[in-house]
Amino acid sequence: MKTSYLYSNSSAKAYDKPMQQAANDNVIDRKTDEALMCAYAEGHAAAFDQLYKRHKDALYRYMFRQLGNEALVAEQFQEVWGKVIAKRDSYQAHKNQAKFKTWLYKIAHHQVVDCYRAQGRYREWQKVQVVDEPALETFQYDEPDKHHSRTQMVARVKSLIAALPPPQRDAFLLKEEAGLSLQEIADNTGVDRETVKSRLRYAVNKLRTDLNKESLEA
Amino acid sequence: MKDEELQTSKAYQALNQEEPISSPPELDAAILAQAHKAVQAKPQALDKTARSHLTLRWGAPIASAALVVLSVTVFILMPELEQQQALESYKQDFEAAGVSPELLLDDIAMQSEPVMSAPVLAKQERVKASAEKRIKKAKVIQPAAPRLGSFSIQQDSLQSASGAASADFDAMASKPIREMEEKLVESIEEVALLSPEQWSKDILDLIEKGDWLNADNQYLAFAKHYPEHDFNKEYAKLKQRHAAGSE
Repeated sequence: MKTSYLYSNSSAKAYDKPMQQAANDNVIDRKTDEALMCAYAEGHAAAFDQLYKRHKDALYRYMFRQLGNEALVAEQFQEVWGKVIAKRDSYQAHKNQAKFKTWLYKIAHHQVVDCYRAQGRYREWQKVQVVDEPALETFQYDEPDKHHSRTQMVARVKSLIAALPPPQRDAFLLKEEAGLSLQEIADNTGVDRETVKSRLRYAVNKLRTDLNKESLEA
Repeated sequence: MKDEELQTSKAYQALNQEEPISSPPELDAAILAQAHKAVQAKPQALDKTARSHLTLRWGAPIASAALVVLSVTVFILMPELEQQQALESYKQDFEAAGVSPELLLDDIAMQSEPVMSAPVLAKQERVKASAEKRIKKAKVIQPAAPRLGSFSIQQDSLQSASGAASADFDAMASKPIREMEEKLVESIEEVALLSPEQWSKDILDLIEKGDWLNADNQYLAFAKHYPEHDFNKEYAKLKQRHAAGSE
């Protein structure tokens, strides 16, 4: 009786394997980033796949907007994930201290800064333009009649972001791509909350002013 | 400000929609492969970590202990060994020169007593005292040190022995032994001042001063040591002249 129960149990397991896999995938899908990272640190490679899938595009965009060069971005992007892989045990040890996303973008931010430093462009991080912008009309980007075209506007946004000073661009991208709060950006970049707030304000003002200028000219 | 932020956000999102940027598939594959490989190789990595922890934990104490042992060997044991070797060689040199390392002070006392004149006696006393000091010092420095040798020995043999010893000491003896050897040579030079010429001169000085009593004493000691010396005849003539003069 006992043997047949065991047999039937194992055969049921064999039949249910694809279903169990699907269930596992669902469980993984629903898991938080932190739980996935801990699972990966414990040896579950599938957890990393999910984690990577969730963050790869936003992180790649963040790095691409900061560095510009595709080959360089690919190299630095791989470095960042390499560090995530290498530091999985230390993340597990401090799992209650930081959100995975904050931790990931902190690594990425340092990687970007190091890259600037290696290129001899670190001064760009220190030299922050602080210009009080005059109050302008509110920019309405989604009014195609007032603008040449959506494509042109998008190209303009792109060039304006590229023209921002790196610390302001960094704060803006961390907010837009990673969705980090002011405090999280401050923690990541090693400055206080007010500085981040100010950087963001200047970045937004700059974008808005230039886009408005363009729309007025048009 | 929030409205403005929202608008710039929208503009940025529009940019991302218009120009979607994504990591290249081959890069994704490489990173995922790296991640899988790292997890598979974890036991090995743990071993390495454990090993490195062990090294970190015990490396410093073991290195410190080794340093202490090495320091003790080099700075404490090595000089002692060198000193012992030097003393052995010193002893051998004396023995090779036919010099007995015993009875130095007894000989000095026996040879220098009542017949000496005051200056010679004082000088001899000084030599004796300094020799005693040196021997005591040598005993304090190295209890196993041999006696310095007898003053009854012939000056030449002593000098040759000390010369041979100094040659070796230059190469290998430690500092206290070298100092001792130098002082021994000095004392030998002091004894060498009591040469027949010097001694006879001292006696003649005493005669000039009219101190015939001390001159006679000195001469008796001189004659005992140098029975064949010409000064014996000269002193006899002087003595005859003095006797004739006093008569």
